[in-house]
Amino acid sequence: MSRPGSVLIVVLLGLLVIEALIAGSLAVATSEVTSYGVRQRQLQSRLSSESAVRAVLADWPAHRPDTLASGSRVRALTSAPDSSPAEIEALGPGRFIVRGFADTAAAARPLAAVLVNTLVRDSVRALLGAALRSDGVTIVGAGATIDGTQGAVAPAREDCPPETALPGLMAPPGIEVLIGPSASVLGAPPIGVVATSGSGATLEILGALADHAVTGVASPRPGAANGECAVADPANWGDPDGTTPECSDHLPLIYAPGDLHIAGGSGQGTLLVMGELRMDGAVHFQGVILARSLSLGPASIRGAVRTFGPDTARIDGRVEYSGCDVERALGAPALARPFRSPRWWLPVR
Amino acid sequence: MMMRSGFTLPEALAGLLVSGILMTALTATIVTQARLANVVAHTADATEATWITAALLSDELRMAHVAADRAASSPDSLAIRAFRGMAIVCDTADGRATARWTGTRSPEPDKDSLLHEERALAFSLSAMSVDCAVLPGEKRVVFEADTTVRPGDVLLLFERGAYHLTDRALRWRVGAAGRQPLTAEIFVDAHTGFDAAQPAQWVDLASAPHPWARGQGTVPLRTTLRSLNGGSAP
Repeated sequence: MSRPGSVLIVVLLGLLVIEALIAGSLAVATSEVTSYGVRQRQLQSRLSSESAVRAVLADWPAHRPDTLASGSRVRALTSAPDSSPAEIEALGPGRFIVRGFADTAAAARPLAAVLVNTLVRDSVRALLGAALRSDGVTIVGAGATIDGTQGAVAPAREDCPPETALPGLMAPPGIEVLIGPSASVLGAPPIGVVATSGSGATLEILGALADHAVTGVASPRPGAANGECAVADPANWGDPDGTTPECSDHLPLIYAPGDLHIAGGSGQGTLLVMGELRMDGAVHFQGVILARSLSLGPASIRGAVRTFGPDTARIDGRVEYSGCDVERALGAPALARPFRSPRWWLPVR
Repeated sequence: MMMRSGFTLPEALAGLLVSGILMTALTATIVTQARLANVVAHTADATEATWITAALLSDELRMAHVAADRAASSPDSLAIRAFRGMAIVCDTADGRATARWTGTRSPEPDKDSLLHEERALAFSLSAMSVDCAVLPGEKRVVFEADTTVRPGDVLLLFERGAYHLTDRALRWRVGAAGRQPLTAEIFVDAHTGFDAAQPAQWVDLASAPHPWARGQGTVPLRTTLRSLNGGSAP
């Protein structure tokens, strides 16, 4: 028997309303999950781009940025597994931008970028130019030798620049140079004149890049362990004499923020002393020495020496210019390190 | 006696009873669902506001220099130099610098400044330009700034402003302009704000639960304000 009624219709309508509400809630939940996924991907993209930049910086010398012409860009390949792509752009001498990308698409925009500065080696070369270049009064003691001819230097290696004679000693005009009996100053010319030049910025950068900081008294000597040069040892300044072959290519950048007294030993590389450098005894050093003032006993230096302060430089040993040793010292990894400016990370978004 | 079809009184009463029960259940369900939808929407708003605030502050401060770009903060405000992009100078001539620009928006001389080697410069834009190849995402911009810049220099564009966590929302204020809300007004002011350290190292964000969400407290989130460029902690 058929009877009219409204219960079924009411129930169906009720179910419809409930389904609509459930569908609305599901839509909100789905939107939230999607939004969360997007946020997660954005964060991951940014972090992977920053990681790509860091990977390039960690292996900076291997990318040979110095070979890039200004304005050119190269894709930087890193040894890090699954690393995001990165590129290096040369802005000018010693200035680069490293960009990190989240994907490899050609039109991809960088999500991270760092402004990288490196030491311009020519700025160090500009501080030299003679066996000894002094800004203050220079005393060449009895029997001492300052030689810019490079005639006494061992045969040049293949990677050495052409050897040309330089002045033995250079000083600013009007600065007194005292040469003792039987002392020898050789070069072309033996004594040259050069204006004092500002060196503060270059020295500051060198100090920041140093492998080791030393103070007080040092007696450097090469050291090796397990067949490898102990480069972490601050007393190991490499081996200029061939006694520890593992350290023949170790050319550290040593920084002394104050006075430094070297009481014997040997080393190579670059030595920056912001105070007085005193060398006593049988010291042998190959490379570049930059010091505010200098007191050189019976020591032997092959490379180039520069004093950048008004104090007296006294030489009682032997200083021979060697362009080859200067270039070896300037080619050391420490001098190729990137250093940060106050705004190292750039706003790219 | 003639039989008539129709409802008997007990049938009608039973029908009314069943209908009443169904209507009551249905009404209760609809009300509950409506409340639930309201709570869900509120929670979504709170999550969105918290996310926007945390992401925005982290992003703004990530490329800042702590000492140079972040002014003193108070519990409810943080004044900063907010960077909007960068330009790499590719050519200079007659006091104009043509540059490759990339950033979140175009330069606006009325409210932006250029940072060149740590000096803030006013600038204007010029239509004249020389050829300067741009990369994907970059565009060419010509600045007229009161300095001589060189090709290869990097110019950073910034505006000064302050983020405020007041009146239950994150707000951005440029100069003497009003505080524009960037989020829904959903935070609990008493539990939301920057820490007392100078500069602030973190921000607490606490959103209020919906009044109908019984048993829920505020939802706190502490976000570290890290700057990759350093300058000092954090």
